[in-house]
Amino acid sequence: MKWTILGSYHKTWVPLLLVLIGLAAIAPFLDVYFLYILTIVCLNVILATGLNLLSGYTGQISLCHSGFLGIGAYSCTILMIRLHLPYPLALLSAGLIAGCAGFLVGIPALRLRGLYLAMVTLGFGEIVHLVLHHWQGLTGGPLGLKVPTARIGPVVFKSELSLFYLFLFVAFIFVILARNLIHSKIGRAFRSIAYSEIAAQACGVDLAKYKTLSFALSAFYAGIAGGLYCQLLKYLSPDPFGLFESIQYLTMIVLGGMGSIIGSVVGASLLSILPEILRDFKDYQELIFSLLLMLFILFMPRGIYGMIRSVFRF
Amino acid sequence: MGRGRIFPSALFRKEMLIQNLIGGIQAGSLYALVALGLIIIFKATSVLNFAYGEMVMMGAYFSLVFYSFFRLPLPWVFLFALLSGIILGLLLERVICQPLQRASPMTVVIATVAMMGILKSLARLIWGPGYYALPIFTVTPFQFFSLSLSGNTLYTILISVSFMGLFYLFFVFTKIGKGMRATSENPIAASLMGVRIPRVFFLTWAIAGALAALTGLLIAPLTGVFPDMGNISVKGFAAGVLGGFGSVPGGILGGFFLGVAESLAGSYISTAFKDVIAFLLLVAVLIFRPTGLFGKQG
Repeated sequence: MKWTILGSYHKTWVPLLLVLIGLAAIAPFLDVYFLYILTIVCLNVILATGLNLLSGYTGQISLCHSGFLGIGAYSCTILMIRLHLPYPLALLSAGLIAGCAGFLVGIPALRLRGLYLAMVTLGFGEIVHLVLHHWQGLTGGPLGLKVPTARIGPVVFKSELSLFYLFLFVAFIFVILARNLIHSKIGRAFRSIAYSEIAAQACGVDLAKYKTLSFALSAFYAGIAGGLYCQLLKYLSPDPFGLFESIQYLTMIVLGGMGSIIGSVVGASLLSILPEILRDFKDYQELIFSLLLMLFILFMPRGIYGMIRSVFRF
Repeated sequence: MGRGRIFPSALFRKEMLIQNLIGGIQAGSLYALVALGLIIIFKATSVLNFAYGEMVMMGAYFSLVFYSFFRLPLPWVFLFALLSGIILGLLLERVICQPLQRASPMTVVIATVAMMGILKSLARLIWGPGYYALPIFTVTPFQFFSLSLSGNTLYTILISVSFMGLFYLFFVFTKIGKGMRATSENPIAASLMGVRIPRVFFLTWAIAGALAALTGLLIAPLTGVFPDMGNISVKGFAAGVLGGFGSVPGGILGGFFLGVAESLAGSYISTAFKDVIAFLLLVAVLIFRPTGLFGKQG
C-alpha cells in the first residue's frame, strides 16, 4: 500500500520536475509574448490547484475565488507600499490574509451545503469587489494602485524572464505541496467529506476542522497567486476580481478534471492559452468559455484528465 | 441658520422618509418578483437557477425588440414578451433540468452558471454592450397629497403586486397549482397520487420564464436595457434567502424588506452602502438564521 502511494508520487512529480526544467531551460529563448502567456499559465495553475483542493476534493463550491485573489493582490501591494515589507514577507502575508478570509467564509459552510454555500460565496465575492471599489482610502478605488517592483535580496523582478522564473518556481512548489497533501491524512479527510459528510463524521473526521481548513488552504493558494499577480499587472484595479473571473477558475477545474491535481494543471493551461488562440474572436471569448463549461459539465463531467485516465486505464 | 438650511423642517424630513419608503417598495416589488421566480423553480425542481437574472435580461431585450423594432402596441408587447419568456424557460428546462436530474447540486449550479455566461454573452453579441431606453410607461409625475409619484413607480408596484396575487390564486386554487405544490413537498408521493412530474417541471419552467420576462419588462423602463442587468438576480437571491428560500410569501416579503432597507441605507448612511447591504444581509442571514428572517426556527 505504502509503495503504491510512493509510486504514484514518482509518477507525478518526476514528469513535473522534467517539465519545470524544460520550461526553465527554453525560457530565455522565448519572445516576450510567449513568456507572458506561460507566466499566466503558472499563475492560473496555482489558483486552479487551490480551488481543486476545495471544490474537487472537498466538494465545496466557491464562487468567490477571484475575491480571494483580489484580497491577496491588494494586501501584498498595500503591505509593500504602507509598511515597506520586503516582497517575500508581503507575499506570504498576502497568502495568510486571504487564508483568514477563506477561514471566515468556511465557517458558514459548516451549516450550509450545495446551493446555499454557492450563494454565500457569491455574496462574499461581490462584497470584496464592492469594498475594493469603494474603500478609496486604502485601495485607491477605481483609480487603482501602482504596484512597487518586487525584489528578493539582490534580484529585482522587473524583466519578464525573472517574473516567469518566480511564477514557475512558486507554481511548482505549490503543485507538489497539493499533491503531497492529498495523499496525507488531511487529503483523505477532504475526500471523505466530498463523498459523504455523514459517513466522514461517523469515521471520526472532524467536519468543522477540515471544512474550514479546506477553505483556508484554498484561499491561501489564491492569496499567494494574488501576491504574484500584482507583480504581473503592475497596476491594480478592482476589475480583474469579479464574478466572471471566479467562474473562469471554476471552468478550469471542471475542464481539467475535478479532484485531480494534474487535471487542474491541464485545465488551467488550456484555458490560459485558449484566449490567446482566440484573440481574433475576442467578442466570442465569453461565449466560448461558457459553452465549454456547459458541454463539459453535461457530457464529460470528469474532465479531460479524467477521460484520458479512463481511456488509458491508469 | 445652518441647521435650517440642511433640514428646513420636520415635515420635509417626514416627506423624504415617505418618498424613500416608496422608492424602496418599488425596488422591493421587483426584487420580490425575481425572488418569486427563483423560488418557484427551486421548490419544484430543486435547481437554484443562477441564470434567472439572465432570463430577466432576455425578457427586457425581447420587449425592447417588440416595442422599438416592431413598434407593436403595449398589450401586444406584454403578450409577446411573455410568450418568448416561456419559450426561453422551456429551452432551459430541456438543456439544464432534464439532463441533470440526478446530478449533484454542485454540477447543477455549475451548469446554470454556464448558462448565465452563455445568455449574457449572446445578448452582448446580438445587441452590443450599450444601453437602450425602453420608455413604455409615462414618467410625468402626479401629485398624491403632498407626494409626487411618477407613473413608472405606480405601474411597477401595481403590476407586480397584482401578478403576485395571481400567482397566489394559481397555487392555491387551481388543480395544476396544487399538483406543483404537492411535487415540491414530496415528488414521489405526488407522482403516486397521479401528478405527472415531468409535466410539472415543464410547467414550472414555463411559468418562471413568463415571470422573468415580465420582470425584465418592468425593470427596463427604470434602468434601461443592457447585458449586465441580470445582476439583479443576486438581489433576488438575497430577498429569497431573507424569506428562507422555501416559501413564496417569505420570498416576497424578503424582497420588499430588502428594497426598503437598501433605499433607507442609501439615503441615510451612504450611497456606497446601498449595494453592499444586500450582500451583508445575505451572508448574515445565512450564517445566523439559515431558515430566513420570517421562516420557522429549527
